[in-house]
Amino acid sequence: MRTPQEAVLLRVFVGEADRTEGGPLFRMIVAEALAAGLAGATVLHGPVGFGAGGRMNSDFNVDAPGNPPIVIEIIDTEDRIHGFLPRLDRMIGSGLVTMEKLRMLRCGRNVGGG
Amino acid sequence: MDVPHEAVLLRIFTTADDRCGVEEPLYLAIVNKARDMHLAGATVLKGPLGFGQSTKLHAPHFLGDDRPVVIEICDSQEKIDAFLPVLDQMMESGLVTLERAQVLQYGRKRSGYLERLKESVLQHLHIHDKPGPG
Repeated sequence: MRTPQEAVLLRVFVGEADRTEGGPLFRMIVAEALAAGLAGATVLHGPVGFGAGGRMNSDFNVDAPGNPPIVIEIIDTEDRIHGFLPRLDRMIGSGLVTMEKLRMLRCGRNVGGG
Repeated sequence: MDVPHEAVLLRIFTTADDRCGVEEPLYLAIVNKARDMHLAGATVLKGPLGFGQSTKLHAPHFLGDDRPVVIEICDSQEKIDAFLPVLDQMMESGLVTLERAQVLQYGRKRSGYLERLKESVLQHLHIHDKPGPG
């Protein structure tokens, strides 16, 4: 286990059905993060939510069909996250993006000390 | 058991395919261990897609479920600090993050619950003990 280092958690809130020319938006954001050499990305999927449009989106309610929420979480150093923001900006038309400071560390038997 | 107002949120990033020992899924082993150590709680979130240090894409496939899994545990700094070395022995390698969290409520203190329950029952029975407007 290494000592924790300062990092930034970037969270991008989109809809599962949001698309760009290349395919689903959340997949394109993960591909872009991979291409940018960021440390990692995790997509989480929720059953129901609403955003700026105020319309309820759900994947189980027939009254609120369509576009259930997706959160893409990317954790890296502050510089690298800031470097990624313009690339992200070009991809998402509108959507909530949050950043928070946290400490990250690598855990596990195969991680050297230091 | 109580959680202090100033607490720590521990998040462990792993995949559904990771194992602890031979068979047990790592995320299940971590949740069980957290329970054994009397941590305040643990929540497992599973996602459809992700990548990590290996830059390999984690997603469901024909041979198994390689989806990303996030385990969230919120407790006091001391208990999280005591849990980290144990976690270190369970995992092979993975990302762990720590952030400060303010705990507003933990446990079954449901303020006003009885009042709301009473109201709901009275409404159901069409009995109104309060005079209506006008």
